[in-house]
Amino acid sequence: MTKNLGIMEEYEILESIETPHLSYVLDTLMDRKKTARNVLNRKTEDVLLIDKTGFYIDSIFAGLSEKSIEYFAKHAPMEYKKNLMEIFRDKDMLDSMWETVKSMDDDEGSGTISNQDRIKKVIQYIRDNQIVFVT
Amino acid sequence: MPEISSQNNTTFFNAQKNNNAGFFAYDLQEEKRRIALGTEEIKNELLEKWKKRYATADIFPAPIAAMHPDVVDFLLSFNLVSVYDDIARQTNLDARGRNVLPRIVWEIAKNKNWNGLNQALISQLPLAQSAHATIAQLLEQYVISKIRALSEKPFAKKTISETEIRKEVQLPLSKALQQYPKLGEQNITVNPLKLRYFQNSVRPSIKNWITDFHDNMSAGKHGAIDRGNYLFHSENGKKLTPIERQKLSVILKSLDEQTSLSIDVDSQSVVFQNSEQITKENVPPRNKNFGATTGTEDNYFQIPKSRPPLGSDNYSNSFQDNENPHFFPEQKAEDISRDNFKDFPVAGGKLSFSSPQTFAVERDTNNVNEKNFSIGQQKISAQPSSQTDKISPSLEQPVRQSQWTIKPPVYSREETSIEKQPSQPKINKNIVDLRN
Repeated sequence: MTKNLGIMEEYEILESIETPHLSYVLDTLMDRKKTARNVLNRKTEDVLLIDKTGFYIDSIFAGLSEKSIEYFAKHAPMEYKKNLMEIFRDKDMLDSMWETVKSMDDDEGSGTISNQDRIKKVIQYIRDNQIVFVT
Repeated sequence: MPEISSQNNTTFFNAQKNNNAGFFAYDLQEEKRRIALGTEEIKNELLEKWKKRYATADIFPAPIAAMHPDVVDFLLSFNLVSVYDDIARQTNLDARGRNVLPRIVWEIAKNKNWNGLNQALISQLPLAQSAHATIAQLLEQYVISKIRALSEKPFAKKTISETEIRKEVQLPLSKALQQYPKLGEQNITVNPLKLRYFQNSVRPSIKNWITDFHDNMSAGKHGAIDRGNYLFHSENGKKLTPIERQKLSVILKSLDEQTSLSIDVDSQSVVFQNSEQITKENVPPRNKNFGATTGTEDNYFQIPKSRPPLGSDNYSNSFQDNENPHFFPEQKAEDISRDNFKDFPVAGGKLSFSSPQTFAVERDTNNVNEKNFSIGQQKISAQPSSQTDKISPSLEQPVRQSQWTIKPPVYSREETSIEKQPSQPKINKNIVDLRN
């Protein structure tokens, strides 16, 4: 270990990289938005560092960008992709994801729909390329 | 931090002006930089590990994996979403019709059926003939022609070259140091070491740790207990975090018992397994029983979630406060009975160690001795309790379970009266005793 970090600091950083969706305290909208922003602000390759179980979680999906979903489609193992597709079978998860995204837009100012647009495009991309997401 | 003097405030404030560290010697920018650097390092480590783990994983279903990688790459570019949108807009296709387009393109690319576009459109899009022609023309222009060109390029299937797979060998430390001299320079902990016979602090490299170990415990072979003592009680060892201690214990074990270590040949460094594996090897089975090491797949730290947060009053990194300390990494649970402590440095029935810290067992023994001493010549009913005859391997209450049941002196004085009224509770003040 060469990092100049305390053990708890290292643990917290690891958690925020690998399992940001497990950092919810009360599963509030604020928690979900925080996680979505964590994912949205990542470099594309860092998205794959999220544990595969995170990809059917609303807040993780809400943070996917055009670039990250493309990278995901091209590099993520099938088990990750399978998990991502699970979210489309879970209506509650999808509703919660849209709620998160709309709230992210509200935070950026009334009338903003940039995050909703982003997610619509991500979903359209997955729909267009379903063939690589399902076995 | 500058001294605060009421007589010389000017000096203090000038010092503050020049000192970014601020009033409490806390430099926020420096802290942010440290965390950012640490985060970057962790990310790089995780990425490397991720790539290694999924080096042979299936990225695509078999039919797609068989396609030309450049074609797949092109078909998966995000820009195609807007290309399909544009085609749909130009040809007045509804959402359903638009979603058929990429499906048709994938089919054509997969089967290399370059002339099948018209047929596929007719069968899957119930539109007028002219509309089919326009769609086919646009798809041909923006997508199909490019796919055809890419698929004609020669390609070799990606295989994992040997250099991509890290070469690791299993060797005991002494042999590894002979074969890979750079290995000794690998830092295994963070803080610098204070060597006994060297004035300055030195790097926490493997070589320096071995030097310190031999300075403290003498050269030659050592047992698990010696190593445990060194890891927890030596000047340098007691400052270690649990993970660092585990790493060091793996190194020292290999040094003493010639156990094999994973050596990365390229970087000439010891590859430490993740802490879960380290724990499995080194932590006594009793810890495993209590789920101390359970966690996520790559739980590096095995810190139980219930541990008080850093900075809180209850937090302590010292092994004394740890409910589940790894005193002796290789010690077996069944060895933790009182009878089996004869190998310990025992003086007059009391365990002794180099540090004032005491083990749970020691504390029990001390309690008994202290009570014995304070009661003096009074007759004490001290009988071995059948339940606690042996020290329970349970770590939930390691200290509170005593081997001896001791009646306090006050009972022995009032023994008869207590025996006469064995279970009557004391009635205080204005509570009416309804039993009478």
